[in-house]
Amino acid sequence: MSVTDLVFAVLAAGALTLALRAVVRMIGAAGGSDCEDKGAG
Amino acid sequence: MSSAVLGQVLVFLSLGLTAFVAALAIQGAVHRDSRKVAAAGFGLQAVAWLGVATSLVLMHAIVTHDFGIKYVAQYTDTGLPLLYLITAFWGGEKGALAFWVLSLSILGAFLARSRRDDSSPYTGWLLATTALTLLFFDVLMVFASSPFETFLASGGPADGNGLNPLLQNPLMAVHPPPQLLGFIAYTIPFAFAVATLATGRKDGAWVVDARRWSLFAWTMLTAGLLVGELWSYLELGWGGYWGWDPVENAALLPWLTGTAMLHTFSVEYRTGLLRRWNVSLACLTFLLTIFATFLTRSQLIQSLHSFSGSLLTPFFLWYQVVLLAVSVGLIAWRWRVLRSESRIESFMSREALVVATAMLLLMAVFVVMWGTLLPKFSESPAVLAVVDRALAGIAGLTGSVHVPLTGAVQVGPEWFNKAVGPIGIAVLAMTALGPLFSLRQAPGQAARGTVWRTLFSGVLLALGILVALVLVRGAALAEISGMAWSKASWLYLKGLSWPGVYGLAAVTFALQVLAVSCLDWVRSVRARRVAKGESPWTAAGVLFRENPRRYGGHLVHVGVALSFLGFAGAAGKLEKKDIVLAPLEATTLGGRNVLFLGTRDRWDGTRNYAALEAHFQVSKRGEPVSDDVVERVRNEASGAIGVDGASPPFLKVRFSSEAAAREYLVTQTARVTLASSLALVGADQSRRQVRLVVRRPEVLRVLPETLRRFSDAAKIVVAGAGGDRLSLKGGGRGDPTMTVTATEDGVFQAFLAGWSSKGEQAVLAARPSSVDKTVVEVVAAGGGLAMSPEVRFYVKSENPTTEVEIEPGLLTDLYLAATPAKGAGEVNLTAMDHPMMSSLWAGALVILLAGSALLLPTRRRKSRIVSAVKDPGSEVVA
Ligand code: HEM
Repeated sequence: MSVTDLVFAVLAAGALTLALRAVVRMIGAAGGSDCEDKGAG
Repeated sequence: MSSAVLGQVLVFLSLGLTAFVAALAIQGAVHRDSRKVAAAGFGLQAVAWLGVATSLVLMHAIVTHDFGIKYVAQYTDTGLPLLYLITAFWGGEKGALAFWVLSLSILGAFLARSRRDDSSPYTGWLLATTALTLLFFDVLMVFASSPFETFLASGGPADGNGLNPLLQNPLMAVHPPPQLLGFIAYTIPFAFAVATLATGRKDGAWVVDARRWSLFAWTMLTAGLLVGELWSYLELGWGGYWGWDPVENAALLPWLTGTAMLHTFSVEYRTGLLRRWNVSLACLTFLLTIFATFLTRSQLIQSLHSFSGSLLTPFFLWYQVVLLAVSVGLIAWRWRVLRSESRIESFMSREALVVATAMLLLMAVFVVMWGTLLPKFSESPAVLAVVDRALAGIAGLTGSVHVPLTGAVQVGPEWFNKAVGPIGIAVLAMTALGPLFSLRQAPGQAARGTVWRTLFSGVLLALGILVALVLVRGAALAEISGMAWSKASWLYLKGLSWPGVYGLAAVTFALQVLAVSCLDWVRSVRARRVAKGESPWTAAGVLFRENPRRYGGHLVHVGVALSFLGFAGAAGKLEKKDIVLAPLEATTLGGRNVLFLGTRDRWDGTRNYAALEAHFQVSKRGEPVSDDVVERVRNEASGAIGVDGASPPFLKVRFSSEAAAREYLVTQTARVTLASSLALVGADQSRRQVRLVVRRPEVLRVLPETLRRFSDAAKIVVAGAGGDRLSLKGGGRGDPTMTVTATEDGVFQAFLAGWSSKGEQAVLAARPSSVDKTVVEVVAAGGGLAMSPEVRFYVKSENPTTEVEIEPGLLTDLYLAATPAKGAGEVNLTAMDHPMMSSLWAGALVILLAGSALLLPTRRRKSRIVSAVKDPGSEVVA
């Protein structure tokens, strides 16, 4: 593995970690979304 | 896991997640579920990070030369410098698609972040629209045009095809990102419009949020267009910067509606008027960006019949149909809700002028679209028949004669200039007047005075410029033709055709815009200086910060006016010569003498191309050669008895004998035409024979004709020796060596001396005098401006590129482009005077700087949102 490969691997891993974090937040935010005013639209 | 597989997996993941986010956002919006809307916001951020990861994988494959991936093999090779490797990312269709997905997902993430505190259904629709747009491009990337596609059977070629040499130019490297970003960013104003329509929201808050996005998109698009123009000017070698080519036209369309939108937004923001205009323009601009992409990517513009050319074409076609249906449907549905509370009350108000401008710009859209598509559509006999009938109808109404159309309609740059020119000039006139009028009211006594003064001064200005032009040009014409001055002036005036009239109008209005904009700045700065004692720069800074739209708008308008001066330059006077020149032939351009010295080859080993440089010397006509230049030639010419500079651009070097002159001529011509390209081997003094071999055989690989150029050049040297003092063998087809034999020792030594001189030389070219055999005529270095446009021939591409040479000037650019011609040593020269180009580029720079300054964060002034304050409860109507 060259330095280039390593740099790209680290960056991509970082991006994927942040993507995962956002997905976790998404699930957290949507969690229990049996919303009270459902159907009002 | 290989890059290709990893990339493909990420693209799939991103497609799935985007679809999920879109569904979540729609559900959240429909069911008024704020949690789902908030979740969709985070989802969009996740999509953006996935996009970043995908792009990193693609970039990695490109920079590490993973030729197993088709895209990498098609657009790069191992010899490509890093800059062009990076730009190859968006150099091809598939990469551009990946760039589109990456950018839109990042913009979407920013949009989601900016709406963190608002999880209303409005935000839901906003995010849903963005996610659905992204989904469309994801689908394209997965199903139609994946950048991660690999070669199935083999592991791919050992080396790639390399990037199209036309794109191996720093300007072309930076052109696509702003151009594409401009297109992409118009998704967000569209999303705001859709959200406004979907929720039936009545306040004007959306224009506050959408303005920044639309300004960003506009600035990017402007930058993309301008860099494209500059590239076209410098690289394409046809002599202009805007050719009304379908791809250029396509990119201009959203710019026109985008410009209208900036102004209608501003009106709604301040007065609550023009709602229908704003949602319509936001939808139309977005639709036009998709149309532009479609037109560029599909083969429609080459021929109507090759729809199958790109897999993307049917997708784009259907997408446009859907977008149009959704936009029209939503607007029709909300037509009544969109009615503004008040109407435009005076035709002399700023909003009336903004509407008039928007109409003019829409007219330009129509004209440009018509001119772009008609030639293609009229290839079909059915369409041709319809157009013919329509034209016959118009002719019948106007009582003119109708000439039936026989073949596909041809539309050239002149048609566009004629048709779009007046619209552009009308917009420019509006730009001068617009800022003079107030919003929501007819001008008062004082303002009316200003308007009349402006109009009146415009008329005076136009007359003044016309008189000055007639005087100056008439005088010039009189001088050349020997006519009486008054007659020459009258002839000039009569001969003023449409480009001249347009140019005159453009200059007049451009000067007015400059005056109106600058005067407003100056007046305000002076008022602040008097009131607060600030320095002019501080005052200008404060003014811009306090009212960026007004003062930033003025700056942009100044840039527009400067650019129009540049356009007018091209329309008003453009001296252009297309001519074939043999070495030492000259042509004149304006007051200048353009002398062709000859060609020379060069090899670039890193980028693998051979360049054929054409060398020119440009001097003022009749200007004597300076004494020190004459002196240098004299010092270098040993044995010369005099050097005479009386007939520029040539110097006459006189010798005491014919033999001395002959030997000097042989040395100089051999040095100038042969020594840099051919090496001497095996000089045999006793037989007075020497072989010449090509120094850079690589050049012959791409440019086999060069061999003929060498032997032509050698023949000239041989001829210069006169009689049979020198003779030449070899150098025929495919033979890279030549043998030169001399019968006289003096001539032989003179020939060899051509290779012995080192350092900078005083002479650039030499020829025998036609009248006196003791005289040699030479062109001296330093006797004028040296210019050397070239053509590059690449190992890996069929298409050579022209590198023009431009001598920029404040009032006019001198532009030279040269390509090899058929005859011995000849070139086709395109030479022209390009007046006011500096103004065009200065204007471009001002527009971009002002546009960027307007994007800087400022304090928002919410109180300006008129109707939001008036009826804050009326958020949702549906
Ligand atoms: C090609 C032509 C034009 C271009 C490129 C252009 C560009 C711009 C830009 C970028 C701004 C700043 C907008 C913002 O910050 O949101 C602006 C402001 C402005 N423009 Fe133009 N403009 C053009 C023609 C016109 C015309 C024809 C009028 C007259 C109706 C006009 C009137 C204004 C006014 C009054 C402002 C200040 C806006 C405000 O104070 O809210 N412009 N222009």
